[in-house]
Amino acid sequence: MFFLNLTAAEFLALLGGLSGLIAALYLLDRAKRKKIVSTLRFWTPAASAHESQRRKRVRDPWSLVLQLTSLLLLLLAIAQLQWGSRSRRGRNYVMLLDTSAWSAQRNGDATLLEREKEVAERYLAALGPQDRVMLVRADALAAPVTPFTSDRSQLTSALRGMTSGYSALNVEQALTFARQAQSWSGGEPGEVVYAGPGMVSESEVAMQGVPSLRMLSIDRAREHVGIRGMGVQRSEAVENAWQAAVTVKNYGPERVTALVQTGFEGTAFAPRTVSLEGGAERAIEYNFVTDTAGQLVAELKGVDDRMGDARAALELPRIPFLRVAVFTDRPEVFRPLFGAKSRLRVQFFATSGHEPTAAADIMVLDRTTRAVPANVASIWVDPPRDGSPFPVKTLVRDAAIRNWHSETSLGEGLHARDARIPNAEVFQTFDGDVVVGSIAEGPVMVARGPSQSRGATAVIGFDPVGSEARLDLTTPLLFANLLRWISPDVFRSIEVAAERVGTVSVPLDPGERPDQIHIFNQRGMRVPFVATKQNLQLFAGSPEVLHVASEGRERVVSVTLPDVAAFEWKPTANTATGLPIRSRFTHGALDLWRWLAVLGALGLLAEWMLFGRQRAFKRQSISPELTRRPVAEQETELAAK
Amino acid sequence: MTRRTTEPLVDRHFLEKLERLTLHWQKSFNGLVGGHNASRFAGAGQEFLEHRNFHHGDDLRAVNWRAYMRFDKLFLKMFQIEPRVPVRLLLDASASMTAGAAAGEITKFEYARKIAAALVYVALVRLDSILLQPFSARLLEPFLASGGRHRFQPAENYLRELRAEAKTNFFDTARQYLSTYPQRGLTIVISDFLDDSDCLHPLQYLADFGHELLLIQLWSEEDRQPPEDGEVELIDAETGEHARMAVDERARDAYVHAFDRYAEELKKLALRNGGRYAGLSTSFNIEEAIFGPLTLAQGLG
Repeated sequence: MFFLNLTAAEFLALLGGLSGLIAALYLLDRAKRKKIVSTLRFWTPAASAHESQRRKRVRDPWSLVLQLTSLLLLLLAIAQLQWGSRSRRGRNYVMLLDTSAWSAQRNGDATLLEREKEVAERYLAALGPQDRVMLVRADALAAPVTPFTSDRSQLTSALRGMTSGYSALNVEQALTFARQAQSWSGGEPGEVVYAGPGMVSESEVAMQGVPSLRMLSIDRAREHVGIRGMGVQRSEAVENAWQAAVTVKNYGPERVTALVQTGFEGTAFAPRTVSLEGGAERAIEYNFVTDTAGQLVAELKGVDDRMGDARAALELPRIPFLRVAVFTDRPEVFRPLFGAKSRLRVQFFATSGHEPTAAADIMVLDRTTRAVPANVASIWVDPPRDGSPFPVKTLVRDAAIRNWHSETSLGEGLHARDARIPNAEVFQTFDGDVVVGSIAEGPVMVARGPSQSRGATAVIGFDPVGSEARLDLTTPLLFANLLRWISPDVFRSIEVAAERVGTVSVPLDPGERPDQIHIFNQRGMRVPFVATKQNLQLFAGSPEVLHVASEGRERVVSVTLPDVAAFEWKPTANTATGLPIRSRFTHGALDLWRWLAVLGALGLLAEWMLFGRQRAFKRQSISPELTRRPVAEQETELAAK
Repeated sequence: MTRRTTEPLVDRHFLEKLERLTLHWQKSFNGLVGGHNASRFAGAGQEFLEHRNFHHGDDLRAVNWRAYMRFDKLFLKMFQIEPRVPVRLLLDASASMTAGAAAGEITKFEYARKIAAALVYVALVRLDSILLQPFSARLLEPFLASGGRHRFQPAENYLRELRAEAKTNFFDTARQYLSTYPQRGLTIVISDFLDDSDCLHPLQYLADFGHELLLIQLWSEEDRQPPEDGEVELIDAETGEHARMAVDERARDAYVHAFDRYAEELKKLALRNGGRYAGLSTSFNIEEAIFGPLTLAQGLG
């Protein structure tokens, strides 16, 4: 006999205290009370004689006995009294079921996960009925599927509902979780059972197990070849050119030859044959040119797709471009400025013409004025004073740029000072306007963000492509900044990569600031990440496509490949293996608390019915109706009683 | 202890209801002319009673000269006297009248004062006079209420100032009463009649001396049916005497039986001597007590 919730000392202290309290209340309830009455003449001598006898013994002793017995039973119920050996009481077991990418491998007629479930059910059947088991899904994360429960049907149901994941097993995290769950449960810890193939990352090969670890190893097919990763990057040198790399790994010990078949939107590239030593991996590169969006698919031919990593696919996005309408009478000076940007579609129009402007995203108005649609951005170059979108305060001759506001994105990289300007218009600015460049008399280059009535507008109050200024580096940089400010999405560089499920690491460029980066998935939801030393780390527990957007760059990370661990876990030699003997757990302790609680409640009920109700009835026995009736009538009634 | 309060003993609405009542007595008393109760004795009254033959010594003013002219014989007109019968109210102001009340319950003494106030008002409305005579071990300072309803306020003030204390002694009280008030009349006794010595004999003396008794016995709920259970130490409110009891259902039944038997003896004593009896519990509403048991006992009508 032992107590789960209370030690013997605690139990006795509680019992003694409460028994003393009950006895005190009992004696107080039956203690002699003093009362002033109108007369003593109607009390019969028999009552006082009876009193002298009763004083020598406790009145209603069975009431006290029943109360104390009921108290004892209820306290034992609270203490969860059990009958049996202390070593045979129910324990808390944690079952770690490997749901990593390896569990999806089909070996023979069943997957590894199905074999894990089978062996787990056999293990559950070997446990005693009092034993509680927590079922934990173990892959890159350890997630409990059930609480500690002795309900076998609940465990079996949860077991059958488990599916394979895409990530690799993080055995250290799973064991830590199991140990913490056992310590938090408060009960006596049982075994931590791992069921799975035991494939881990290299750093966890020699991971030490917990003291009561049991390994239920599931045999896997040792030969396996899969795509480890695939990346695509847009070439900066050649327009619409892409570079793709497919990494193939041999997870088995033997040399394997595989055929890699890659294609883009139905156009197959030349197949490559790779020969891989045991445990080796190799990257195969492709170069192709396309200006359309589509899917790049790489497949391994001639191998069994046991784990879903024999095929990888990437969605290449459409490359956006910007339509620019330049209204100028000197297109030859503007052509070099816009020709350097491959993502621009530039059209030149004479200032005297009446060409439609609706097809443009940006209008460049060189020393002319024209109505600009509300949804079109505009860049005004040395506009006429009466046609300027911003009021001109004054005209200055032979001015020099004093200041470029390089703290803004528009002025970024502009450092030329004392550049001579033959004629400059000084603008009146308002709240929200961004001053890009100034002379001594005031701002000569101003930008204003888009509003409902007009698109983004930038005005340059001098001629930046004049004979002297066109030779300066400032002018192309200024136009590049203006175009990037007006339409930043177009100029983002795009990278596409297929990564493995689990922890994803994205390296950052030196100029990229982590606080400017946003990561969201294909559903548009933000994904949390950690930035460390120009490196982003995030976790994807299931396949999804992630967009990592920074100021000038966008990466599409297609986390679709299973993370297949390549190394076999080798726990310590004293780790138990295989299924336990059934008889070891069969005889558990008998739980008595329910019966004790029922008996205690029945005892209190009996005490109340035998003694308590009688007392309450006596106190309420004076009937007002009886006292109001004539004495003779009452006397008759009493006599009849 | 008596509760000191400034609120009226009986409210105005109840007083209006009392105006249709009259104090009744059943005996005929020799007394002064006045009042509203007709006497069976002939005398100098206003109401004609009968004729009788003239005898020597009769008052010639009462001769029916019209009958003499007709019958040539002297007849004397007899008139019904309307005596002013003394009405006295003996109010028990002993300590036992404050005992036995549960928390929040009205005491017997307070209840008795309300009953007394109601009876005084009924008497004053009918232009009767009524003597309030409190007593405990002896007669206390009396108060004579008379002169109509506007004299009710002093009587009420007197009742409100009364205190219940000391031990009851019915024997001494009766003896003192008989010597103080030799003229017979209606004697209303409001008491719990819980004198440890005998109170039946003193009451019998009062009846034997020609007083008509209207006994109003008051009891609290606990007086009649004590709620005690188990071991209790009972202290007599008047004598301070202690008694240790082990009370059980049987003892309580015996108590109730003894109490009811005593009340029945009181009732028999009153009826045997031509008086009336009313037993009232303090849980009984005053208004219902006046118009119920007291009216049924023909003390009021």
